[in-house]
Amino acid sequence: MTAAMSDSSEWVVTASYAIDPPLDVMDEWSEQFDASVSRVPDRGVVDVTVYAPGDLHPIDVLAKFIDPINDVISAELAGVEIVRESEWQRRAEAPTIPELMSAAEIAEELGITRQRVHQLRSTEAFPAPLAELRGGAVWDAAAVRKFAQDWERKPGRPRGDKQRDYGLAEGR
Amino acid sequence: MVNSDIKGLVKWARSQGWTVSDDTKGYTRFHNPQGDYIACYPATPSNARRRMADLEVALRKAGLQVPPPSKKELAAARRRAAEVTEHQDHDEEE
Repeated sequence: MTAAMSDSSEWVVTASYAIDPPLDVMDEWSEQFDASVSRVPDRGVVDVTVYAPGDLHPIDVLAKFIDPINDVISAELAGVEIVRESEWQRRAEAPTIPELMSAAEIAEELGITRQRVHQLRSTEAFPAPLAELRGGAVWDAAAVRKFAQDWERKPGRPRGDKQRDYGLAEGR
Repeated sequence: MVNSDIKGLVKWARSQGWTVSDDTKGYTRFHNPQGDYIACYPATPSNARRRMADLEVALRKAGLQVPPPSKKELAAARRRAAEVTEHQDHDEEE
C-alpha cells in the first residue's frame, strides 16, 4: 500500500487474476464493475482496476470493492494493490526510461570538449554509460548531473614540463 | 476514429510497433508488438482523466516504453503554463 498521510484523494484498487479470459469477457467485467480491465502478458495476469472513496479504510475498500469482483471472477487472485489516485496519476505520467545524454550533450552540459568527456570516462567518479551503441555511448542524464555537482574542476592546462618550459620561454 | 483524448498516446504506441484499432463497440484497442491484446479506451468514457490514467499505467505495465519529455516539449509546456498564468492575472485585473 502506498499512501502519503495527508493525501485524501480516492483509492485506486487493482486486483490481479491469474487468468487469460477472452476479449468479450474482459469487456463484460469492465461494464459490470465500471472498471478498467487489462492484460499483463509477462506476468500472465489480468488486472481489474476500480476507484473507491478516499475516506474508506483500505480493509473496507477490499471488502466492498474487491470481494464482489472475486465472486464473479472465479480465478486465483494473484495480488491486490491499493494506491491513492494522486500516486496513480503520477505513475500514468512518469516516463519509463531516463533522460539520455550522448558525449556531445555531456560536453555541452559541462562546458567542456568531447575529447575531455572521453578523458573523464577513464576516471573512477565518472558514471558508466547505460549502453554502448555503434553510434557512441549513452549516459543517464541524472548520473551525469550528479557527477557535475561533485566534480572538482581544475581549470587550465595541467602543470607539466612543457608548460614550464613555455613559461620560461615567454619570460625571456 | 480514434478518440482525440488519446491521439498522442496512439501515435506513440504505433511508433513503437503496437497495433491500435477501433472496434464496432466504440473501443480503441491496444495490442502489443507480439499481438497480445492489452487494454482499451472507450469512445465516451464517464471519467476521461481516470480512464486515460488507467490506460497509461496498463500500457506501461505491458512494456510500452515512454521517454521523458524533450527539451522542446518542456519549453512548450512552460510557455503554455505562462500563458495560463498571464490570462488568469488579466482576468483578475478586470
